[in-house]
Formats: sequence, structure tokens, C-alpha cells
Amino acid sequence: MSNKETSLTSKYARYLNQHSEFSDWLSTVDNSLDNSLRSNAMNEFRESGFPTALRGNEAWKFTNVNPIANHDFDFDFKQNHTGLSSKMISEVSPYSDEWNTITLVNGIYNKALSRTHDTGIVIKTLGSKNTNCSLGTHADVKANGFVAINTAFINDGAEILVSKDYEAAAPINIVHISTGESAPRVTYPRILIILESNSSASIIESYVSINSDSQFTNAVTEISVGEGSQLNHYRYLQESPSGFHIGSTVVDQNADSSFNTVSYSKGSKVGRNDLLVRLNQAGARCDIRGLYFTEGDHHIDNHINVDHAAPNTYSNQYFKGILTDNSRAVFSGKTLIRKIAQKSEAYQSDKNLLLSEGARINTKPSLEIYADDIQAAHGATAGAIPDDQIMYMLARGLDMETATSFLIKGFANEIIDSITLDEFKTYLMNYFDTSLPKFRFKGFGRGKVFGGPVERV
Amino acid sequence: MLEIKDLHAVVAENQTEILKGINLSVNAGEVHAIMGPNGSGKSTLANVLAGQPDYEVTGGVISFKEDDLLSLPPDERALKGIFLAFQYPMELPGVRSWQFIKAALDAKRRYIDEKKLSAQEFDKMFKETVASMDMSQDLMRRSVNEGFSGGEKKRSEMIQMLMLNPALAVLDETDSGLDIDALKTVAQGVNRHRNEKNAVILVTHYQRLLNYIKPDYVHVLINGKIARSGGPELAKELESKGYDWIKDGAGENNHGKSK
Repeated sequence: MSNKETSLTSKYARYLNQHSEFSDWLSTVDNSLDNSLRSNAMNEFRESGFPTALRGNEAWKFTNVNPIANHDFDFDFKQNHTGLSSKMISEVSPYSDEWNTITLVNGIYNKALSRTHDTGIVIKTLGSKNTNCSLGTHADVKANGFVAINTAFINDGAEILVSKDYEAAAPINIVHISTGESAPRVTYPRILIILESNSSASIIESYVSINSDSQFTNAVTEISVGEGSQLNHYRYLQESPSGFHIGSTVVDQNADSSFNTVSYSKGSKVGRNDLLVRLNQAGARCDIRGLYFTEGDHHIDNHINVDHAAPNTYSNQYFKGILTDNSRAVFSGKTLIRKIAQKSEAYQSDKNLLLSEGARINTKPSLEIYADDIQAAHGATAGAIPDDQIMYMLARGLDMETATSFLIKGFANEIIDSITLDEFKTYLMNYFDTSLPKFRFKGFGRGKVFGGPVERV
Repeated sequence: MLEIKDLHAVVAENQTEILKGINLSVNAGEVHAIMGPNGSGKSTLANVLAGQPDYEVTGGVISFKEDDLLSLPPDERALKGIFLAFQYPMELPGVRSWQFIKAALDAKRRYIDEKKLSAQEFDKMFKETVASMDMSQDLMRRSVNEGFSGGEKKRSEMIQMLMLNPALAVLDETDSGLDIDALKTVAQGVNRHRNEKNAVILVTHYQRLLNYIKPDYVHVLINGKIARSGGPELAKELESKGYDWIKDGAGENNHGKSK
């Protein structure tokens, strides 16, 4: 055993112990998933550990995961949660009785809180027999320790299959709930979404918590979008502000498919939204948008990778951030256009509204281009609330707080407006209407000049 | 309604003095045109009235409806009835015109203790006003001024003015960059707004707007002071002679009193 391995083994002894207990327990229950997927992943984690080194680790340069690595989280694989109701879920996440709903409580599929209306949608729990063998083929355990350890602890997530030629009438709402417990706990939600050819669906993935404190959600979602299919995907992150969230989504797209995703991420202590989209065949298109809002000492990192691996493919990344207090956000957008991907188009943009002197954004859109006949553009901005816009609104009789809130909401609206699922769009708009803090320019009313940083009222 | 006495103002950033002792009084029902060459301080005067923080008042008094205007923040000035039509109206991305003007009207009605309009009442009034300014209804459903042409922006300002019905409308070079049709529409808006209770101050570089809006008084601002005041005929005279002949006589007739 090398030195590196020894130190990792002792550092992550807790995870190794939890895994052997978990494996022992699995052998006693009817869980048909091929165990080699888990054991290979655990071996991978044993090798890699968490990406804690900040130096020479470009993908995690601005997101320090040491607070996660150094935290002792409990893992409860046997838990069987009751006491939650649809009403409780609807209070913390976008929800409708009309939707197909899949609820995972602490990473475990909850049958009582799940239902489907659409006949062309097949839902299976990952622990059950006859699940699709493609689980684990999209998200590579070598990507990082988080994907590895999620895979090692796959227990009972869900597989969603939208059948060939089927157009889902109602959205599919996947609710991930972390519930309160005395000790901080880690959960490993795992989802596999398959759209067979020429099908279409809208899917919401919400990550929320109820009475939960410093939990750690380590989630992986794998998505396969079949030829000619269209997936409208939404990701809503609003967990406990003192919790940790690392979410990895990997999407594989076939010919002429489209994947449109809009995420909303409210900051966590450490939050990361890792998305990899592979445009594997000609004509595949993806539109990736996101809005993030951080306050206090929150940290949110949107790490987006798009791989143009076929000709005539299209990608657009458009993110917007609203940062206040001493919070921090990271945007890393990376788009690779391979030599074969001629006639492709790729765009990236990240815009940020910095509402305080202590807020900080690290933004890095980047294009890596090997094809010569393509169109691409990228850019990033960060700025305070423009005082000339505020003056314009004051000159119409709006007070400072109303004017700033109009501008902040206006800034967010550009992303929210791109949501095609009306219920979710309304949900986010209402959320911004009711929960946005009020701001005013520092010193306004005391001095003659305003502008620059704002302060909370 | 408005009484300006010996007003001095500087650019806040570098303390350059722009207004060097302005005297002006405006009564309800009057339309005053403020003319003058570039850099004479016309726009500064308009902006100081609105409370634009880029300028600092260093001397003088402005009373508006018996209140000390200079002690009020910009939003309260607006609520009291001062409306500045901006020379360069701001674009407000993501803020819809309908929603913005509704919020402004709600704030104003709250300020004067009037019940706010219902969404239906407001919508009816809004649509009519938009139509009266030959403006696209669709455009006014979108973000404030975003992607508007110069002419559309000025029409949007006039729509806001008509909706808010201010006691004193200050138009800062609203005519600049307008083609003749847009100019006529803007003039129509002002003429529609004009009544015995309201006053208008038109800041303009050119005489042509005054072909469509007949002012009661014309003031010529030169180098931060009102160099000459007169009736509408003064504008005609400026058109034929330019501003130079007044410069020569500056100081001889600079009381600027309209009454």
C-alpha cells in the first residue's frame, strides 16, 4: 500500500467502514443491482479520495471541499421514513398533484409519496430487478471522488424511462428531500433518466430539506436523450443554508435531440452544480441556463462542461448570479469543440450582480476549439446595480428599496423567462417576489451622492 | 408653483460650476422653454430639479408648491409632482413597462391618499395612453425601453408622463434625435398634458419643437445664467440670429422673472 493510499485510507476510514457495513446489509436484502458497480466505485474512491487539493486541481480550484472531507457524516442506509406528507413537500418545493411525482427521502425512493399519471413513463427503483443496465455508464466514477462515492453507495434511487415516441403530458417532478436528524448525515441520491427515441418530457429535480441542518447531499443524475427526443429539465436547489451539496449531472445526447435545462441554485455552505453534456451525434442541441443567488457566507459553484463530439451540434450556456453579503460564487463553463464537430455553434455567458463589497465571483467561460468551421462566442460580466437606472426609477416616484428590488428581479427574469414550464416559472417568480432581501445604496439619504455598493435594509 | 432663486450647482465629481445663479418662477398653467447653446447648463437645471445626484447644489433655493425642494430625495420630488423626461431614457432589462408604471402610479396615489387603480382600470388607461402616443402595445408589454429606438424611448417617456400626470413636467431635450413624425407625437403628448393646473418646462436646443408646442415664456441660458427672457417671439429671433447676439448682451436682462 502506498503512502498516499495509507493516508487516504485513514482519512476516509469512516466511509470505508460505512461501505463495508452497507455491503453486509445489502447481502441480506433483495437488492438485485450488480454489486461490482459499487465495489469498483469504492476502489476508485479509495484511490482518489475527495478533490481536496486546490493546487494543480483546475476543476476544484475555487471550491474548497475540505469542510466536507473533514466532516464526520452519518450514513443511515436502512432508514424508512414516514411522517412526511405531500403537503409538506409542496411547502418547500415546486409541486402539483397533477404532476408525476417521484420522491426520494434521504436518497431512498418513497413509494407513498410517489405517483405517475402518464402511461408511457416507467419508473423503477434502482434496487429492484430489471433496471436498465446503463446505470453507471454515463457518470464516470473516475470523474471525481464524489461521483465515485455516490456510485459506491447506490441504494434505492430511481430510474425513469420515457418510452419511444411518447410525449409525456404531465411534468415529472423528482423531489429529493433531506430530513432533519440529530447528527449531520450524508445522502446519496441517484437518478437515471432515459428518453427513448422521439420522446419528450419535462423533468424537475428539486433538492430541498425539511428541518435539516448541516447535511451533505452527494447526488448523481445520469441522463440519456435518445435520437430526436426533447428533454426540458429544471434543477431547483434550496437545501439547508448550513448544508453541503455536490450534484453531478451527466447527459448523453443522440442525433437531433435537444436538452434544455434551467437551474436555480440558492447557496449552501458549499454548493456545486456539476454538469457534463456530451453532444455525441449530429444535430444534438443543448441550452443550459442557470440562476444563482448567494447570501451570508454561501458558496455556489456552477461547473459546466459541454463536449461537441459530432458535426452540426449546438450549445448555449447562459448563467446569471446575484451575490450579496460575503458570499462567493464560481462559474466555470468549458466547451470543447472537437475536430469532427464542424458547423457547430457554441456560446457562453455569465453575468453577475454584486450587491456588496464582500461578495466575490470567480467566473471563467472558456472554449477549446479544434474544428475550423464553427461559430462561438463567450463572455462574462460582474457589476453593481447601475445607479443611473436607480435614478430613473426614483424619478418616477419609486422608493430606493422598490427600485433595487425591481432591478434585481429584472436581472433574474431573463433566466426565469426561459422556463417553458409555466408552473415552475410562476413558482420562481413568486419566490423572488417574497423572499428577496431589500437593499439600498450605502449612505443614501445621508449624503448627496449615491451609487456603488448597496446594503440590506 | 416653482420658484428658483439664485441657484448654483456644480458637477459632484469635479466641482465644476455649471449653474451660476439661476432665477426662475413658473406658475400653474404655464409652459416655459429653456433654450441655450450646448454647455450652457440647460440639462443641468433639469437634472437638478429632479434631484440627480451627479450634481451638487452649492447655493440658492428652490421651492416647489411651498416645499423646500432641495431637501427632498428624488423619489419624493417625483411623488410631489415633478416629472423629468430624460434626454437619454434608461433601459431597465427585465422590468416590464406595464409593471413599472403601475408601481409608480400606485406609489403616487398612495402618497396623495388616493385608492390605487385595479389592474383592469390601470390596464384600460394604459392601453388608451399607449394608443394615443402611436406606440406599439406589444412593445410596452416588454422591458422598459429595452431595444427601443430613440423615438420609441421618447414616446415611452411621454406615456409615463401622461399616466402619472405630474404637476410639473420637465422635458430634457426630448426633441433631440427625433424625426418630424415622432416630434409631432411628442408635442401632441405635451399639449394633451398641458392644462391650467399643470406646468411644463421644455429644455431644448432647437426652435423646431416650439413650432408644435407654443410656450408662454422663452428663456435663454448662457454660461449658467438666464441671459434673456421673453415670449415665443424670442425663439424665432434665436432661430434667425443664433445665440451669439445674446452672449454680447448677457447680464443686461438676466432677472429671468416671467412675471
